Amino acid sequence: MKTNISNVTDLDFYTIKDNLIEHFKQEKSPFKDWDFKGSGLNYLLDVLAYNTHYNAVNAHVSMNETFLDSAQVRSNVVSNAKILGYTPRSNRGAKVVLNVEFSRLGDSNANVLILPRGSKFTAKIDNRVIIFTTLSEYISSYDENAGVFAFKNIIVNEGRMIRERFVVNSADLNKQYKIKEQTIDTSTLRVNVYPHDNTSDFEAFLDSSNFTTYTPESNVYFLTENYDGVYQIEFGDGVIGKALNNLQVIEIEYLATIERPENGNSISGFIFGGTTDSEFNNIVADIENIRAVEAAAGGRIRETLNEIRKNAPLSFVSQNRAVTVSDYETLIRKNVAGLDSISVWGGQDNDPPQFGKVFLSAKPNGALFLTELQKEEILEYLNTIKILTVKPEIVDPIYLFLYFDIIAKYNPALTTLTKSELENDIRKLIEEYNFETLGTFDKIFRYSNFLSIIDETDAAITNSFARVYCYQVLQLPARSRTPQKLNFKFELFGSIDQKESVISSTSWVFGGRELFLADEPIADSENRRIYAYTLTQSGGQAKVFNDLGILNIKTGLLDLTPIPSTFDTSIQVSVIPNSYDINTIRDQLIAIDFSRTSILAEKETSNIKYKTPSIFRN
Amino acid sequence: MANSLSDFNEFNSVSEQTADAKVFSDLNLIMNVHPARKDIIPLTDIDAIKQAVKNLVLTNRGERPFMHNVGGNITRLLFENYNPYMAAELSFAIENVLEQHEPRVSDIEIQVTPTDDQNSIAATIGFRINNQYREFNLEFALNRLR
Repeated sequence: MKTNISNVTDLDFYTIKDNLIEHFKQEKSPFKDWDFKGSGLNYLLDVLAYNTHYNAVNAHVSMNETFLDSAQVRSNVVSNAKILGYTPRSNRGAKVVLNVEFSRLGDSNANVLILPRGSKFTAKIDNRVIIFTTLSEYISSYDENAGVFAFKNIIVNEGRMIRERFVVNSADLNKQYKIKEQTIDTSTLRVNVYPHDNTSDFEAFLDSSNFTTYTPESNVYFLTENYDGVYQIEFGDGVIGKALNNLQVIEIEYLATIERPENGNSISGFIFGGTTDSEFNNIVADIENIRAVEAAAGGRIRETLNEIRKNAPLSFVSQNRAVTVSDYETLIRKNVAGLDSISVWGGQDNDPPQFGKVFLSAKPNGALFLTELQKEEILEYLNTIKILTVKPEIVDPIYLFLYFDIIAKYNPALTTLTKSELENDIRKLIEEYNFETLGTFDKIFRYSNFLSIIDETDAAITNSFARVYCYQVLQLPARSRTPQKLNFKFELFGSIDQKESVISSTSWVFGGRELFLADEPIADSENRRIYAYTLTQSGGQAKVFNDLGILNIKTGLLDLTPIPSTFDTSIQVSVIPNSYDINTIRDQLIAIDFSRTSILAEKETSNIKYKTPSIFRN
Repeated sequence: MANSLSDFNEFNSVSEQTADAKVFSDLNLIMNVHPARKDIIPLTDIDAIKQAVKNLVLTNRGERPFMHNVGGNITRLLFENYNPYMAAELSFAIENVLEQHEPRVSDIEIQVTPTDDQNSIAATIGFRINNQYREFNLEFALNRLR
């Protein structure tokens, strides 16, 4: 019997079986009962098709797992990344800077107090205690006037300190030392090797990323993630890195974070959890004061599969040296936890250009700006990998806050939702859009896409309209003498000579009066003058400061003189963009402000009675 | 697989087809070899249908890959004490599977009788092949394997 099975690429059981049945459908086939479920031939086809299906799926999955892009099993993704010399980032515990004061015991006359490594501070989330630990020793002198030992800028990391010891067995050919805790923060790992069990002398070993070349004398350990998803360390073989001898003792010390380290971010309410150091306990009576200088930040779960797929090849390309823009992005992403988005640009592309510099701006997890500690951490890391003559500089992101007046027409006959439920649904979808589409650098707000999201909220929505506003936050330090610039970087809606103000602002206080910013035309000029006014009792404007800078509506730049303010405060300066599509560059980030966004659903019952939306030209 | 239950059951291969019967032909799962041709002997017509009926009845649900609902699923009943309810359930299970998956037969009648001495149940399945006048009976014993 001639075979006519031509398709050998199917994976699906039914398709494979159908192909076999096609084969038996030939006119001269000795078997006709292929389409009866109970027939012997049908049973045989089951086995044939199942076997083919099984082998095909097996081959398909095996092949997929071979490549970094398509592998789904973590151990295979990690293994593929290992070929590129990439070790996935572990959990990272949140960090926080504390100022702490301890009182002295009455019978102690110690003048110096050492806060040892491993001292604990605790805080609570949902009645669960989270431990923060010091990784360095801090020293403070006794302050006679205040009667306390004051420690300033202590850095504590989230995590419990774990210590493990391994004895080297030279008969063991598989000399890998598995780290017990899966939630290890590998950035805190410290490895010491003792010649034997009864000594306190040790040699410190460092992670391989600290070395550019290995010699037989390099005190290096190699950290990898193994097939079980557990980190393990290996040592040199006497050629690449120093080899360990029989019965030497390896001691490792690290912090094990909580399961979801991001829960440690923004935590507050610290209390001192104590230390086992007897010298410390003999001096200290009690803790007097404890204050977080900045909110805890930087806690993040270990690298996900998608992150590994993205970062491993880029890390290989960058070769652990920050040269191009993408090198900076990749290496920071790999080594600094807790960042949602990073934007890097060369000084030559800056406005104004600053040669010899590289700028970077980052949005951290769950916060608008990096803490000073995070900035220091990034710069410290960049100093080890940057080109000698280039100076990295971190700038805070400039947030363009968008808010809207949205009106959606809907046909009440097509939905069971009430007006307010419909408005809530629209709000939820816009929140999703804000989170998923706008949350990172180099994003464009596209007006038509935005409206289509509103239109697709419910089948009952017939059309929608949104007026787009944008504001930036202007910081007004008290008694400031520094001029400031506020740059929207897009053309503003309005004409150069219109009498009405192009900008508007929220109020601030100076000299007991509530002031607002506005602008007015300047004769024969391409700019407009910015002034401050207060409201009169009749609701009119009374100018207080006639000239607080100029506004260029073509470029969206507000060039401001020092603005007087009684208190440290900030105001929101709002404009209407000329184009409703808003682009971001370099350090700009778009975010939607829902507190200033209004959403209105209006009924539309028939075409004849259609009215243009109540508050807009349409 | 169905045959494991019925390996020792005598397979009734007597053909009683009529001249106007539609020709069915199937692979005989016993795989007997023709003495002269040295090839397998296909089952035809009523023999093919009888094999299909028996296969369906003796198949347990979940046995066939990707076809979890096909099968008489009667093995579980053979471990029960015999009583009229169990007999009715057995008959219903057999009838049900044939109605669902064997479109060539109709007018199905089931009779189950305990044969205590042999620890088995004798099942007689009477049916008519579609568009044919004659009735056929298929008899086989249902035994527990252990």
